Amino acid sequence: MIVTVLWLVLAAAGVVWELACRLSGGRWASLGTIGSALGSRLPGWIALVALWAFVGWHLFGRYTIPR
Amino acid sequence: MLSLMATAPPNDTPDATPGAPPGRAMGALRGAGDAGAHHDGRARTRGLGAALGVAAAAFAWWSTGLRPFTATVYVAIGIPVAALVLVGPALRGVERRAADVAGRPPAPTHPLGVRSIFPWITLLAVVAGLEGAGLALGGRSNGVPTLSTVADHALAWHGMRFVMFIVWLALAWVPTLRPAWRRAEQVG
Repeated sequence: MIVTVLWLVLAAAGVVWELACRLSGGRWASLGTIGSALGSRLPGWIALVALWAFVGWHLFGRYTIPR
Repeated sequence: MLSLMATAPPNDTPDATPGAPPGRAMGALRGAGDAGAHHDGRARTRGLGAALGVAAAAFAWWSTGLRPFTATVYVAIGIPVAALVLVGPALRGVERRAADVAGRPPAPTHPLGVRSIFPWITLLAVVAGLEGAGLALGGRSNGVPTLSTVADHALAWHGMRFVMFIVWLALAWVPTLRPAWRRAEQVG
């Protein structure tokens, strides 16, 4: 239970930090900025697409409904 | 509309100032025509965007209603992935070609110093540590669940799966379509 709450806190921290980065005027890199920088080169773009595809298949193709 | 305006004699138009040079009136007309074309282009791209949004939502609802661990669901999820692999490189080139034609330098990229991404590295390290601990305990531990196990609780509802699927689609497709979108709006 504690670790489940910790996961939720981490997810919330990620969202809050992303918003803070976007409002920081470029002082801190947001996930969007990091993604753009990585995706501007072909190897980085392929890596991002592979990660995105893995997340999609893992989350929506292999989920197990808890009992 | 634009071609009709361009062929009309300049001084036959009601708003052409008497005595004004014909070129000036034509310039004003051409400007109005360009603005109209931009407006049409924007309306057209918005209509296309709405149609794409509806199609994506319908596809997301259908995909997230499929049974997990089946070939059908793997293929369904593979469709947007395959489409991105096929179309993505071409769409990525749109902005670059537009910049080349206009003689603009390529868009500057943000200098990613370690300091500016340090909070993300810290967050990633905590996530990796927690995920590693969960996996080391078998991956289905109630005490230390993995991220996937926590996500499974949310994915139990079709509505939640639908929302998460839309977010997943948007994460890759919005940045991919954005340059082509802007270009289409500018061209009209």
